[in-house]
Amino acid sequence: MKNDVYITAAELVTGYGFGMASCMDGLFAGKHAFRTITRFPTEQFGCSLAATIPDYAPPDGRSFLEPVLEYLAGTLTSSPEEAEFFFAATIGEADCLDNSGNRWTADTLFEKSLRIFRRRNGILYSGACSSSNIALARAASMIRHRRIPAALVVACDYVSEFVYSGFASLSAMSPEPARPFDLNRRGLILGDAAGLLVLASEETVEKHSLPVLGKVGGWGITTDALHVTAPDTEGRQMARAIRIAMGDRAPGDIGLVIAHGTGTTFNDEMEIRAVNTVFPEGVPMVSTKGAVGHTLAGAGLIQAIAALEVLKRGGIFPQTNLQTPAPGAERLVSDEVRPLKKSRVLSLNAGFGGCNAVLMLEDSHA
Amino acid sequence: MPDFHTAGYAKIHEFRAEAPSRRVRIQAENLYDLLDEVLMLDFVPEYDLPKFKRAGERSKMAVIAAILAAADAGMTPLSGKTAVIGAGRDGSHQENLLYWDDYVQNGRSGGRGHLFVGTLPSTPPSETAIALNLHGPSYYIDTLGDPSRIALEIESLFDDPELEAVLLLLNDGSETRAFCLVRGAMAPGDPFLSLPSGEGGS
Repeated sequence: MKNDVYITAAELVTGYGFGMASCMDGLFAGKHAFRTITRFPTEQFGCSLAATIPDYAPPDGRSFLEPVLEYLAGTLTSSPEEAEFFFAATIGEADCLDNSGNRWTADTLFEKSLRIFRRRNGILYSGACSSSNIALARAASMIRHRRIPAALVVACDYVSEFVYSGFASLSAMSPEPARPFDLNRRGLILGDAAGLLVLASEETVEKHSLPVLGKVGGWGITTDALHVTAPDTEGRQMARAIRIAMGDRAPGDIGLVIAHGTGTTFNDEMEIRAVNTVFPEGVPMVSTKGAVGHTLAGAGLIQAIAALEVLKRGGIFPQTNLQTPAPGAERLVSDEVRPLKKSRVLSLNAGFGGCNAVLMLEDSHA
Repeated sequence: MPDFHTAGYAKIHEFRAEAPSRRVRIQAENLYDLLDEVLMLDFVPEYDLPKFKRAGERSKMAVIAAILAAADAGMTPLSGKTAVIGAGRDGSHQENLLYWDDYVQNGRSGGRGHLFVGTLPSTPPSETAIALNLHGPSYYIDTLGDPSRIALEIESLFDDPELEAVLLLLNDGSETRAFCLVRGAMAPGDPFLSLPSGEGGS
């Protein structure tokens, strides 16, 4: 018997500010949230932009993400007590390493989050830039197979000097606003993000009379097993992850693909190939990263919430900063708001190490 | 008892490899020599590992441990439908220090890409998936050392009927233990049951 997985709460902090409404309005307005970084020098990197949280700095003595996570915890009014805690992060707050006695790993951030969300235990998932889709997929799988009744999934990462210098060292960053799926894209722009989703079984929804925002209808996680930084540009394992997530759904049942769409040459080429393989007749596709930047472990969570907004509005937000679609993407992307014609949305993540993770999100009546 | 069991098990501690069920215990001068010694064992198949040199220490230990555990299980080559799950309590603290110290010593003018990639906790399982050509899920988990949650993760992965095996790579910095896990009831004495609460990291 199918056990549906419902989404019952959502919240976000992004380069648009605190709260998901400003982010969704920004996405639909086609306005990016990039600004010049002031939290560390950037002259040496050849790029200076990031989608940083506006007018925000942690109070003295606090780490960057502690107050952000406390904000998220404060918005959580309808999370069932029995929800398992799932946390997604990549590197954590690693730029506090000038004191080598400090341990600022994803694991220490996970421990901090447990305290902030008043949980005694949970699981940290770290799968590079696929981390939040992996955490959401694992939570949904455990709920569907009745291993847990509900899950609180929290994800976060931020633009630290550690991460910024690292991506610069890989020549992955753009000196100008990122242009996912554009012919002349020049790389990614990083962004701050933290967010949460609560997933619950039907029984848990009924027990606590939880609101329903949508459903997680499927998921697929695969690994390229080819290269630690470069994706398989043929997109074979991404296409496989998409098909696994779709289950018995046909390509015509999908109304939108929210791609990982970093704006780098190889990532976008890989996704264009994978999406055209699974959808030979074409399908609307868009990336959030031209607007909120690449938020690493936060990426999948933003995309899932964007998918819920698309399903609610019945419209697809425009591809921010798109000028000329890349070869193969002409039928997929648009710089205009488009109607959503089917009530299922795929959300794709791809990370270093060849980690591919795909979710299929549905409206609550699907 | 979990509904999976250990088909193969191996341990790498610094430059020493052990596969207890095969009575294998190899000591080497470094991880390159250790890999060579492991690949010479009669129950270990040939592997082409051109990218081994590039990988960080933790990834090298993961790859050697995985090769030995898979061979101990008699599952060589492993099915592509195998998941590789790293687990620990330390993320990549040593790798973080390595990248950051190098970056600071270079006057904060630029980092080194290969050191940066090593700072991802998911890099050792990813490198293992690359070395063994495994296309199932690969990622890192931290359960605060709670083995029951590691078991929950593994059992839940096996809910996917397509998945044939899970390579679990437990790392605490100086030691990596690899469990080649398959479906079927766990028996007393299974190496997985030796994980006490608080296991999986320093």
